[in-house]
Amino acid sequence: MRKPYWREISSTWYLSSWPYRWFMVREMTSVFIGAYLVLLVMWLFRLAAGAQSFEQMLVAMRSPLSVVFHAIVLAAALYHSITWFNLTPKVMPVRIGEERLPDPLVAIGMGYLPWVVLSALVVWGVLR
Amino acid sequence: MKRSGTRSNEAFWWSLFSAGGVMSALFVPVLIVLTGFVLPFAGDPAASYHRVAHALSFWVVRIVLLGIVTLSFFHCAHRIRHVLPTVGLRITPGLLAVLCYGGAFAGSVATFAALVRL
Repeated sequence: MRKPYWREISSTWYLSSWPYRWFMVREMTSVFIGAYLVLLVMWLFRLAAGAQSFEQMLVAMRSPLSVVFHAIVLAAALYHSITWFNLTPKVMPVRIGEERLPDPLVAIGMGYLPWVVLSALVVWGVLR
Repeated sequence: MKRSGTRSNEAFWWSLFSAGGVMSALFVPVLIVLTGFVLPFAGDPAASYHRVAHALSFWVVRIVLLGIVTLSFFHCAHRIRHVLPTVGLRITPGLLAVLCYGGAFAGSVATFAALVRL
């Protein structure tokens, strides 16, 4: 196999302007969401291990470290959600006949509205 | 360089990325609020345990949660795979793909293992 070609690229190119910075923030949300998912899997294992194990984890998660971690991860997740819903009409334009539905309408109908409804459903399902 | 006629499997990974992007956009924020803020501070931990155990006692809930977590893992893997080379990581693309999607696969298997034990 030939040696792969690496295009010369500065490792800080995305710091040069705001659109690039926000692009990198959006891509980096995946690292935070991934970290949260790993914690969620551990949380599920503690749940499977029984009441005592799970309750210990709940109490441990009152620590300031956990709260700060979840605040950061929540900010990342919200940024992902908002950018994802706003991009939906650009990636999947909805047409009725010849007319293209306005982007905000598609973002609300296929993004924000289901988001609110499903979030409420999850909260109701767990806390009822 | 890909020879013409070589099939790309990029479309497959992109479809997982897209489905995972939808799933994590819809469900991850509320999951973070519940597991990170509400349940730890909602008074009696025993009551929280029973609430969560009851919600996850339904198989349909477990299957949906497995779908959310699995697709979200693959979404993250895809983004990380494509962003790391742009910030200067020099790793063979094939190896990077194996590491990223392999990690997502491992996370999905772990989620499955936890959910069947409940």
